Amino acid sequence: MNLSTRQQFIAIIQTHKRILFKIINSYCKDADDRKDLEQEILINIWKSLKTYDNKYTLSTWIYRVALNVAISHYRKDSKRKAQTQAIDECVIQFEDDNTITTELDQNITLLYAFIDELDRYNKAIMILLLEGNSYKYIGEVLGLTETNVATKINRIKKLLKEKFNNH
Amino acid sequence: MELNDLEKIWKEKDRNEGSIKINEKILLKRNYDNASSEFEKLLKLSILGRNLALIYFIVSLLMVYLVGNATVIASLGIVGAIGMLLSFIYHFSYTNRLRKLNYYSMPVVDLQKAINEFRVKSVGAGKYDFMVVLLWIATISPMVIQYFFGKNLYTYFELSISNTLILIVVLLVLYAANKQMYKTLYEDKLLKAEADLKEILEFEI
Repeated sequence: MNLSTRQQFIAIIQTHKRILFKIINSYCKDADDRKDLEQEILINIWKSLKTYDNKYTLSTWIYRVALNVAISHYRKDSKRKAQTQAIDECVIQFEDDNTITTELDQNITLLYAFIDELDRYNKAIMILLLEGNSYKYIGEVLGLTETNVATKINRIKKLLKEKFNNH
Repeated sequence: MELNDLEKIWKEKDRNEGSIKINEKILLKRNYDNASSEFEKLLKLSILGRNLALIYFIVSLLMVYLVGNATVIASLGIVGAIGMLLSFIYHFSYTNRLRKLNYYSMPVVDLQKAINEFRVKSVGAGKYDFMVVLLWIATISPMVIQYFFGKNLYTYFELSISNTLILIVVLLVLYAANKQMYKTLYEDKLLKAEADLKEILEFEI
């Protein structure tokens, strides 16, 4: 193991921990599943460090790796799930919940409930959008045209209205 | 609630996420070099199957060469070898395409489409793979027996109605077993793979 590569890897995870945390939480509700997905994302980031192409920004690369792994992980069947080795600890941990106000907590629960209702591809759009990315950038990460992204976001907005009008 | 409100909640949550910590000890301790990602496992398994087909093809050719003077047995051996060669060529075409993909820099939709197309082809081929293996066993066994024990299986098989009926029954049983095995092992996987491919194709539009 090359120490500088390992340190570079840790620095990348440190910088992108917030987005990784959000992707993992948006795709997995179950705690064991989250550990499993986190492990798979970290393996892929580690392995891809050697082939990282700097014509893409670091965040584009992280988004692509993490979302691709999360979407593939989502299709995991129960048989494969049973074969997966249990991982004892999480790397990315939420340490202190005390800072969250009750109101925010409720809103966040509502937000994650809405994200959870979306299919795995629209979930990716939603995460990228909530992160404040442009339609063009979302298209670049996902491999869609800007117009296509706009159409899909309009559909999500419509869905959102329907969902919250019922509340 | 509008999308803008959700963005506000998402960003508000960010302010509270200062408490997301990285456990560097685990990151330093874990050996990611030896770990295989799910994508690598899928690819390795396909390449292994493909290479086994090539090995079986070579073994068949070698046995054909060794029992060359037993014409009927050798001719059937060639049929088995051709079956394995065709299986190798088919698997080679799509595993090679997957191997060339850059898993780490491809946009999400492109990669997911490629992986799902691969899954449909790979699982779909399972039905024929099993039949090819049966054909190979049926054609290699007489050659092995001829070469190592000097016995020609076909001289033991007299062409009679009862023997032909037995042969037909054996073939039907093997065909039914193949169908059942495919149903148990692959059918659900194929349906799932096709549904996943349909999902990504529809999303792409």
